[in-house]
Amino acid sequence: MDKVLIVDDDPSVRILLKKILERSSFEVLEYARGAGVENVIDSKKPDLVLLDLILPDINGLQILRSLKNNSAMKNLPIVVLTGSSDKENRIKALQYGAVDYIAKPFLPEEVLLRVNTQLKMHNLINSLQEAVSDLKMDIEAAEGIQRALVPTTIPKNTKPRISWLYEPSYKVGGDIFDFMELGNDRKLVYIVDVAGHGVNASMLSVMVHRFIEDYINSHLTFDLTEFMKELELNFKFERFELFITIIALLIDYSEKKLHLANAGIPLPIFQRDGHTEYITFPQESLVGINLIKGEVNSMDFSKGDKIFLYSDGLTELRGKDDRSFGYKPLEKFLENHRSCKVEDIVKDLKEYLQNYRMYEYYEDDITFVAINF
Amino acid sequence: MFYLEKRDKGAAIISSEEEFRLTGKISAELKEWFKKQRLDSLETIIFDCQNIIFIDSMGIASIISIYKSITSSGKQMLLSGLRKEVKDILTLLKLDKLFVMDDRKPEEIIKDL
Repeated sequence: MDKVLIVDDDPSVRILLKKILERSSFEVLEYARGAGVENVIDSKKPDLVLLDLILPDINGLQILRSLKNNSAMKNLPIVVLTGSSDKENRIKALQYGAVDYIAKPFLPEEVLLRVNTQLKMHNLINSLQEAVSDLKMDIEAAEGIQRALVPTTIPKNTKPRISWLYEPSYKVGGDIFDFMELGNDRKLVYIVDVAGHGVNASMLSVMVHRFIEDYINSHLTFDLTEFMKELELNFKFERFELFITIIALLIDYSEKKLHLANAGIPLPIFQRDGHTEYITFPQESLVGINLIKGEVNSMDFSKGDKIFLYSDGLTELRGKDDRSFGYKPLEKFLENHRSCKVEDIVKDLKEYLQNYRMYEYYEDDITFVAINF
Repeated sequence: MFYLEKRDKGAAIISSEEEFRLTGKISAELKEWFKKQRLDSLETIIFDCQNIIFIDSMGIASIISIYKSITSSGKQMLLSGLRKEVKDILTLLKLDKLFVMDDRKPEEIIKDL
């Protein structure tokens, strides 16, 4: 049963309103003064207040203001009672936060309609706020899980030097990356980008991460071709209604070779002796639609070389001019930073993108991994 | 926003009146819209893509989803009128091996069915 508090000094108005509301099963509370209204609301917790604007002790508008400034009461719906010709105060009351007004003399139907409508709206807003708050908590939890899976600190004194930028969109996203020891002086670095972003994409990216960890632990002689084929088998589009893209870089220090498998991630960039260029090995298609063949391409590397892997969220980032960041500016940025440490490149890129982006948040996930051999 | 127009020879055309970016929310709407369509008597569905001005990963996922749904019931699906930018992305991702892309207008394709 909804509770309505009537604040009016005129007993005849209170009696009339009480009758109207009680006939429709409302619980009605009465109060005849302005002073102490907040205490009554605090103790009786009404669902709606009918407030007369002309009270003998305090102006109704003043009460309204004070209730709206009270954080515990600011969301309580207040319908003001006004004289039929009091247009000015009616508008002021609405400006001060009243949700509606009832002009005296009033018809019973009008009172019920206005009270019912405001209570319905209030309940809707409350349930919406609760749903948003639950969703926010779920997203924050998902973000925590996802962030816990990506590396957090840059390993010191390890080869190669590695640094990264990881910015999920709207808190959670479909990107995930990692670097792992494979034994025999070999390392694996990968970026996975699940189509889309949000909770479902982030859940799938966490699954892929887990799958890769398990795969590496159970395959001591890691083979990149077999790994890609296994991914294809396990992440069929039909299962999730989403596809994944991945770039996997196997660094073999004993042979000084890089082995690269790329299914749908933008071309990596390579720097050697001051030259910056894309690695234009043939790409595979997306994972999960039966088009992965396990194609791996290899190249030599030397001490001092750098390689940059990144997801399409970086090149497709929309700037304040509504244009995508694109490949050329990225190439130019890296060209200008060719003599910098990978940690400084990442730091500068982060700053650059924060100034460049159209919105305060990232529309798509951005992962950028810089490796220095 | 999307229409399914049935034509002769068991063909139908999926189209949109306005230009649009096939990204996040619109991709989800397209998938939901498609689920409600009745394709019983159809053999060929032509997705007229001339109004797609941009496509992202969610957009690609929605087309793959529609493609899988159509082909799994023994029907065929063709993409027609793709703009160069969109076609380039699909080709780069080797999706030309999955989809049939036809540069002709849907009416011309139907004529040759």
